[in-house]
Amino acid sequence: MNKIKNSINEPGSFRDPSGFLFYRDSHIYRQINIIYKEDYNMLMDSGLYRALTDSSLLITHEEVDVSGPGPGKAYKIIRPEAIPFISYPYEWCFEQLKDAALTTFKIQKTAMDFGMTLKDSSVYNIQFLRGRPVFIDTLSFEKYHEGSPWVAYRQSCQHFLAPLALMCYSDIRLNQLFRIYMDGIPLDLASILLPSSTNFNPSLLSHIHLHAKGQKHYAGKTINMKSHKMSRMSFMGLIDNLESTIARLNHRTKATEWGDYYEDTNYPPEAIEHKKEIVASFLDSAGPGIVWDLGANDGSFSRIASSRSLYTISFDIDPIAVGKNYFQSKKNGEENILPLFLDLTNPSPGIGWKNDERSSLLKRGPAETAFALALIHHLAISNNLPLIKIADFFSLVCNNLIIEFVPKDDSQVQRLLSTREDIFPDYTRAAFEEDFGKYFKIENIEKIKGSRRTMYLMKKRVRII
Amino acid sequence: MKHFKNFLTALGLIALFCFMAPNRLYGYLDAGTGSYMVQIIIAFAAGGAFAIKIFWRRIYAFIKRTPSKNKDEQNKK
Repeated sequence: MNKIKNSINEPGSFRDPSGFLFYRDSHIYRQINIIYKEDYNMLMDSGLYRALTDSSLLITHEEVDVSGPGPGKAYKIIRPEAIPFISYPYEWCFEQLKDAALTTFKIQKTAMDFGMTLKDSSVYNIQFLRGRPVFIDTLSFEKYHEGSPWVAYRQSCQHFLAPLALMCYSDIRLNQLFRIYMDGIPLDLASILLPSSTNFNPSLLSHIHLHAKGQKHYAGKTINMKSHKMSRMSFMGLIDNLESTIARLNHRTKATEWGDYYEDTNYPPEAIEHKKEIVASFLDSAGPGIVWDLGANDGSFSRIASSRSLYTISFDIDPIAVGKNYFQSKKNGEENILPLFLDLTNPSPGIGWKNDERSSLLKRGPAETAFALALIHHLAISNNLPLIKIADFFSLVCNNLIIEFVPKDDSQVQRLLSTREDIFPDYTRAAFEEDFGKYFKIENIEKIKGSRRTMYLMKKRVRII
Repeated sequence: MKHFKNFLTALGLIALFCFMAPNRLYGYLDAGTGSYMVQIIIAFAAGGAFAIKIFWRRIYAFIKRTPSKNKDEQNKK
């Protein structure tokens, strides 16, 4: 047995006594505790693991011969396939959350065919790998006991149905409630926020509105545990009903600020082409590694990186643009691009127990290369962020920066200034170069033909402490 | 609308009381008493609907299969 030193437990993996994740030597491992031995063996021996991994629904793993951090309790150590970038439901668009939900129900149905069931239905058990949602918690399966109800029912309503219904019928931004409510959207809150017309949808009426009333009615009450059973047919009916309800939810796209960005720019087509050439050439100079495209809109420029087999996170503040980007990546079967929602002025914080269960954006970085294309004027002028603070932030999120400077006489900047006082005398190209020069070494500069804009390739300076 | 909502709520709660009969729960999650009771009722109704759904699917599959099977047999001849 190989002994590997310096293990760090994954801070988001401690609630289930069946096991936990830990990091060693830049690999992630999962300890399976003896308590979970029977269920793990059933997962592996029944053919369920094979069926789920063959259809790319469950993360693959290999059993490894290393000692875990808790050897007294350990049954086995496995090494799951690594996920290039961990993302969370408050960073997903509607379709991503819907696909995550449908994947979970598909897994639950498949598990039933092998005499097993999911013992939890957490949205955090899903991650995106090669452009598709994949279930990452190998320890979520347990033997199905005939007559037993689904212990994960409440969680599936709070983690999937309620947020999707809210995004569909109330407002697409309401998945942001996940940032406050770690264990999914409380059903009483969902019931209040949903329009009253949803009472006419029998599934939403029962799974959300009446469910919320039932929770309130039984709060603090002890129930008489009799030997009445929930049949397998009822169990399957419940799962089928939840799945079909979610499958029918479709978001009606409304116009947003950025939805038609590329049809509403001041670029002539040749300038866009030239900008793409510059980004490609700068990216080739920056070298390989994960790319973050900050302010990616529909991901046109992200695809310059992803088409070079660089795993690319395509961030944008507009959930509709993220949705379009995800739709395109699905349609084209793209494996190296992950569209995500991000408000750069308020990036995802660390949340959960000790603010550590779900990592902040910064903790999930740095990227090897970041794009900040047609972005700086929005940060500096729309959000009053001083250039030096922007430079500081970018130095925390990437090693190489491909950034576009948009001068004040650009028509897009003039549009931003048209409704406010110009309190930005320091927003100049010289000041930009000086402030960014404190954090980055400017490696290359190129003007975009047919525009007033300039592209920069910068490399982060090594900080001497 | 409000009266209709209250009516449905009352109907649901009556149904809740009628079917209160939980069983042993497995797993590390707390299913929640209210969620548990609601689940029993919804699953009862959904199970019936699911059984009908499967039944109709089988009939549909049978009907769909029969003519094509006959056609295949004719083609072989």
